[in-house]
Amino acid sequence: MPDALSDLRVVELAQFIAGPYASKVLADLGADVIKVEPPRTGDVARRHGPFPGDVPHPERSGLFFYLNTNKRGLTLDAATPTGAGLLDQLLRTADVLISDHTPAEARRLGLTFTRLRRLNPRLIVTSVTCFGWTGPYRNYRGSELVAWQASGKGYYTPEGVTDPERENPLKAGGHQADFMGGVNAAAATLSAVHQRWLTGKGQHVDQSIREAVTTTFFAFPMNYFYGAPLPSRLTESAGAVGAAMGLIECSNGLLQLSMLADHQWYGFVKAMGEPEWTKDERFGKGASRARNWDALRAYVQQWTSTRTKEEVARLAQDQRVPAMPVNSAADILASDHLRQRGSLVDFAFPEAGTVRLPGPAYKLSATPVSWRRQPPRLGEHTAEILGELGCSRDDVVQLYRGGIV
Amino acid sequence: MTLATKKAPSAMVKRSRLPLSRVRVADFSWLAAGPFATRFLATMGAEVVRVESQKRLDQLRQIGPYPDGVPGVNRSPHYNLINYSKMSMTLDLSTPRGAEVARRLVMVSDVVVENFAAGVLERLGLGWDSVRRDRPDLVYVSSSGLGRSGPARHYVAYGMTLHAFGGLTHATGYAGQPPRPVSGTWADPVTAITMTCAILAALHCRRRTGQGQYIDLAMSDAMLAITPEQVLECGLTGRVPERTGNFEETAVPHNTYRCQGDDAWVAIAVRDEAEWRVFCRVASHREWAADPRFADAYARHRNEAELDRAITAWTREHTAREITERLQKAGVAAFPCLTAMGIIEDPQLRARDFFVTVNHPEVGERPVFGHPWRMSGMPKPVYTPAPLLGQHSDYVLRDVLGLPAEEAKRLVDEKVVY
Repeated sequence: MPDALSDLRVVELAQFIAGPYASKVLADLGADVIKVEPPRTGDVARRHGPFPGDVPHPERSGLFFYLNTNKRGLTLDAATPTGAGLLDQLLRTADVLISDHTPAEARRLGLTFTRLRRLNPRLIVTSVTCFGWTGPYRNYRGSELVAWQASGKGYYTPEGVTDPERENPLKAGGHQADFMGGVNAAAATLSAVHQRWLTGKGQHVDQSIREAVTTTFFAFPMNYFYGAPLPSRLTESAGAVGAAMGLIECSNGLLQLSMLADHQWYGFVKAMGEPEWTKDERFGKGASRARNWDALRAYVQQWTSTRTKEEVARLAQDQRVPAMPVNSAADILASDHLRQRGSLVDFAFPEAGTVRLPGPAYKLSATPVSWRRQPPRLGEHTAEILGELGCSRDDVVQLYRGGIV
Repeated sequence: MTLATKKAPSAMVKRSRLPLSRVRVADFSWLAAGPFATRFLATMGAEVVRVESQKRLDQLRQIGPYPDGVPGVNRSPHYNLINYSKMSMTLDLSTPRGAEVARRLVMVSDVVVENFAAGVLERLGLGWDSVRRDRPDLVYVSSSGLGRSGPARHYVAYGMTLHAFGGLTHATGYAGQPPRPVSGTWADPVTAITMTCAILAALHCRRRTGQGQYIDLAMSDAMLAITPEQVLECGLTGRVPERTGNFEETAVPHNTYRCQGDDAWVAIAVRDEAEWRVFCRVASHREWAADPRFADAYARHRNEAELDRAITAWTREHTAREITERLQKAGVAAFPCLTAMGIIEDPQLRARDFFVTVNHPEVGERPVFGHPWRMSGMPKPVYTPAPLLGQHSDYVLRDVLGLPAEEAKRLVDEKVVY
């Protein structure tokens, strides 16, 4: 079997996380992704750590490495007329363009869908931007923090605030919004590929990163649409839905315990060896357990404080209780489960030996994700790709001298 | 509750030119991750049949708040959001006839999605290995917390436990303080969109080769894939990273700042020196740009606490909206930290028809969150109300499976369709 998407050529004109992650999803599934970077500086992700041994180097960014596996790389200054001409030639051969430009930026670069459609009627143009291509904020600048806070998720991160003046709204760890925007853009692009099977035509796909995140922020607005009041960020939402859930201290760190149904509580009582205190009537009913969570947690911690988070999770899970350790990066790298399942892959990292990265997010039986190539060094495939477009070696040298590639 | 949104057509609109027209999905999953993914497919034209049962009600149907305080399996806001544009049939899979009908449905479907405990569908003769012989072109997805392989594969999970397992909980919180987990639903929709990518790629591959396949989808893998930063840092430096609040290594200032108004905040992200000078001008504090404590990104990172205090003195005097408009006009990323009401009233979401009103037979006209992306060449997405429990049992038995009327009736009478 060929790789699932081996018939697709994708041109990526995007930096940092959202756009590059969208095309990484497609590249890992077999698409031929050509990453177009600005000459000299390259993608800004190259300046973002972590770096092996904390020694910064544009070819050794861990984040860049993760985001650009399986791609080929070309440098091109699309703002020069010759560079724009070469980009057009490349787009004539492509199925998909993934770009992170706002409408105003795209107009300056001549990357409007109206023009690109004439260039290549089968081309799918996916824009992945913070606010989307229409509406009053279409040209607003975005970022991870801005997208998360514009989505509704951010204002309630963290929830259960006790001192609102000191506890300012947070972003989630890492770059959850940018990555979420990227996966959504990949799914949206593949949707357009499906429609092209029916119509033979490309189209413009408009993915807003903030809307990708807002889609997950449905609980409070939906409850409101059904007549319930909106909570403040001082509320713990778990208590509000009548669930006993939260973080529990164990001997070596924290555990997340989530008990929504009665049978889960009975299971947990059994896991603890049915201690006397569990007969307390405050813990008798689901809603009552949620209301008395602080008291419940104090009792539970008497039992968990002498056991590791992994052991508590195992004992609870033996009774089918949703409990899992709060894993640090070191825990994740040491996890037997993730290793045996192949959820982490080992990659040879330039000058840092082998590095373990999160592997593919799914296991496909017939077309497993293939690791065909390391991420491109800056401009690594420029001559190769220009050659495919019909440029001679002389042309390539001239373009290089002109600062265009 | 109504909202000034575009009304969706109440009858089935033409699905024939939608990206997934002529794709049928048998959805045996429940709660959020699987059903969220099949909703994305349904909105794009796939015919999605939720296989449910009164004997094993979807927990989502049992979570309120219910309109007018009247509970009911068709009245949950969460179920009705995550399942619009689909059909529902009821089937008691624990009866031999029920399993047989389910198998017939699988045989005429293109995609199967399930999240039963490992082994359950296998025992019913509905596992991938038994159905692939007759339908090698099926795309069959098993969704689970930690996947279908590995020593902890039997672990049960809710979203929050996967935030913990996948490293997100550890990474979220103020510097030097305990983790503050991300609230609400995140791992489920993350898994759903990841699953959507996998299904769409497998269906594309099937159009090319005629071959289907099995997809083993772990929520933990989906979470890990979008949370690589700390794992990378640990692997490359040997350090175990802790929480860093709103810190971002390539941008400063970069935080949420208190504004005028009740618990009102604005997010600001300044990415480089040019933006920093613009920021100082907009804040009417040009002297900051010359202040050695704030002169460049290195100095600003070292004096971030002082910098944030100075900025807060400015932001407190203005609303989050004013700050946003002034900074964005000058090309600096900023936006109010939107509350739930802020989301409902946001002009950009309104302008983009983010909310759509559907008319549900039991709860009436209510807004829902629409499809999360726009496609210029796609006809209007399909928005029909979430199905009542078992609403389409008869349609599936008669029209999809072609059973005679008396057999369909017998299945209902014998509580196989239940």
